[in-house]
Amino acid sequence: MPDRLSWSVAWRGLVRSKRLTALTLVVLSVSVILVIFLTALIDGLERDLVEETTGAIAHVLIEPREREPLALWNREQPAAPDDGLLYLGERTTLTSQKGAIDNWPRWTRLVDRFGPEIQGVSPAAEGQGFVIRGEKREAVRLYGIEPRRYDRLVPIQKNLVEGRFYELGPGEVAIGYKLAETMGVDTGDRLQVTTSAGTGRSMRIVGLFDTGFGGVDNAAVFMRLGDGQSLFGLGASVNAIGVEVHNVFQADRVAEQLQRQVPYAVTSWIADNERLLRALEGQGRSSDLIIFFTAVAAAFAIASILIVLVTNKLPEIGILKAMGATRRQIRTVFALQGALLSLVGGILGASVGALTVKLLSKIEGPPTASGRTEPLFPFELSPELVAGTVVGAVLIGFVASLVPALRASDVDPIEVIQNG
Amino acid sequence: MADVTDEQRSGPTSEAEDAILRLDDIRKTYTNGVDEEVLFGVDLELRTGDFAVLVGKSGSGKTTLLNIIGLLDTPTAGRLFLDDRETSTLDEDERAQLRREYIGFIFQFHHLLSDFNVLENVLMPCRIRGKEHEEAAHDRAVEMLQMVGLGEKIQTPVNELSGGQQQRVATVRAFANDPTVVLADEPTGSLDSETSRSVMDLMRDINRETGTAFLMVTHDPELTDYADRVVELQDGRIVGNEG
Repeated sequence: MPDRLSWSVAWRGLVRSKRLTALTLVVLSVSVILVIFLTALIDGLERDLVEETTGAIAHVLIEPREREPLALWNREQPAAPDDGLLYLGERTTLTSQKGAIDNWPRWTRLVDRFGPEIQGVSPAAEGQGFVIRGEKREAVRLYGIEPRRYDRLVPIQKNLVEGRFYELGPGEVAIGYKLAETMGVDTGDRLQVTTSAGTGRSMRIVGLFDTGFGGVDNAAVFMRLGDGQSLFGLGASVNAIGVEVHNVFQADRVAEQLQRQVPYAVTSWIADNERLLRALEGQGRSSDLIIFFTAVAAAFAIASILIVLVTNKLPEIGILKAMGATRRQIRTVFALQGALLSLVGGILGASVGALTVKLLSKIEGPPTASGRTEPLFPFELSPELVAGTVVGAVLIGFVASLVPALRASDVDPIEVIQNG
Repeated sequence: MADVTDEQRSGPTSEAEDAILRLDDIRKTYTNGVDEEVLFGVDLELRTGDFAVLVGKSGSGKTTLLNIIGLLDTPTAGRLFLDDRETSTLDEDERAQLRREYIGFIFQFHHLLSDFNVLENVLMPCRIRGKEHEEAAHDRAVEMLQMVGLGEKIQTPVNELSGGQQQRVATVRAFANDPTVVLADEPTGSLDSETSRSVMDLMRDINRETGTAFLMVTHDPELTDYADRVVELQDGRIVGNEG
């Protein structure tokens, strides 16, 4: 614990050297502002990018395994009819490459109870299809879902522009506002909805939404689960269970654990987006480098200014040592100065940085066609970032003060006294 | 700090029973490429209440000797006893502790700390020792400042004082910690004759009042009048020690 001597000499030195102290505080504050601004911006960009990628899809998807072709010579041979002919194939009644999830309520419950990391589970009868109205025909993805469950995966209800989503009735669909614009339809109009296998029916539009995700707003058609099951010929089964997790980066782990408990294929969004993850990692490393070099620059600035302070105070340090001050007391003076400067500079910089980020966050970008607006700068500012930056600044200040502190403690009182 | 060992304690001789400082064959050689011997076996004793003056020509080794006595420098050979404690084997921190407990310094230049006021400067040696020492010495420090005519200026920044006033503050500072020995190196060297006399009077008064031993290096023959004893150093050897 620093004693009164170290505190008083450190504090008075800073107060009396107003210009140097102010210069150090400015350098430190600007460094901290830079770190907070850049980190908040990069974190925000990362958040947006991940949201853009994962916001419109299930983080973990449980699907029936694809049927894999088996070579005839590896297959257990059925008893060949004794008709003298050689059969090279086998007649089958299977029409789809994928099967179905029959007892889906059981698996849905299982996933629901899996753990706190699960945010939502939604069974679906889904697949590719078309919507047709008059001459217009658009390729879409058809989702037969339970709206309230699905809403936990992709927020549709709160993004409704018109109509309804939760209360979809039989023969009713909700579509994106962009798709509605393309097809020239509105709520109340009817669309012919057809699967890629050719099964179709006429359905009425009861809801338009604007999620901000192009893939959903342009090409998604939502209907009741029963309608989807009927269109895709699944009976009472579904062909997918979507799972939403709180931390998207934990999706791989959750998928791996779920895979041990369900007899279906479990994949996470991460497996399909490795390039994005690599890009995020690269962005994270760039951010770390920027912070590192900013910290180094700040450390050099503090060290340089403290060296000037030490040089100015060499005679007084020598006299203190002559009067019996220990090397430790002298070192503590300058370590304290470094820590005090960086604490005040850190708090100042963090306050200004956080305020700047908050103010810039309020600036909104141009609205979309549906009137939706988003912040121009996608900042992600957390209390941990602000507190961590201040703590980091204090540590850097302390470390930067070590060299000048050691130099000060090495002062020879005899030289000081002889040189006046 | 380690306790004083029997080896470190050397029983004082009968003649030096009240010696608080004893130098025994102190030698000092500087090595800068070639050896330069500065002190050649100096023996000296200082007793409680002594007011000794160390005189000698430039280069005679006065300042080197004073630095060794003040534990700012170490002898190449010989032994130095401070209050019966052998000091030549102590490390830097142990010597710093002895300095702050036993020794007061007055330098030719006042060397006050510019960031502190008069009273804080006087109390600085006590502050180095700890808060309790500073608090205990407060009233005495104020009293001494009043004695030297600076009672009205105890809160004044030291850089607002005249040269004479600053040297008086430095003198009072040397006594604040109630030292056993005060070492003064040309304490009036930068002062006019009138101020010099007032500073010397002050030192003599304190010496008589407190019994603090004094060893003062000076070039000024007039100042030897203040001394009980004049020690003359010539070419690193004591050639006169008159009481």
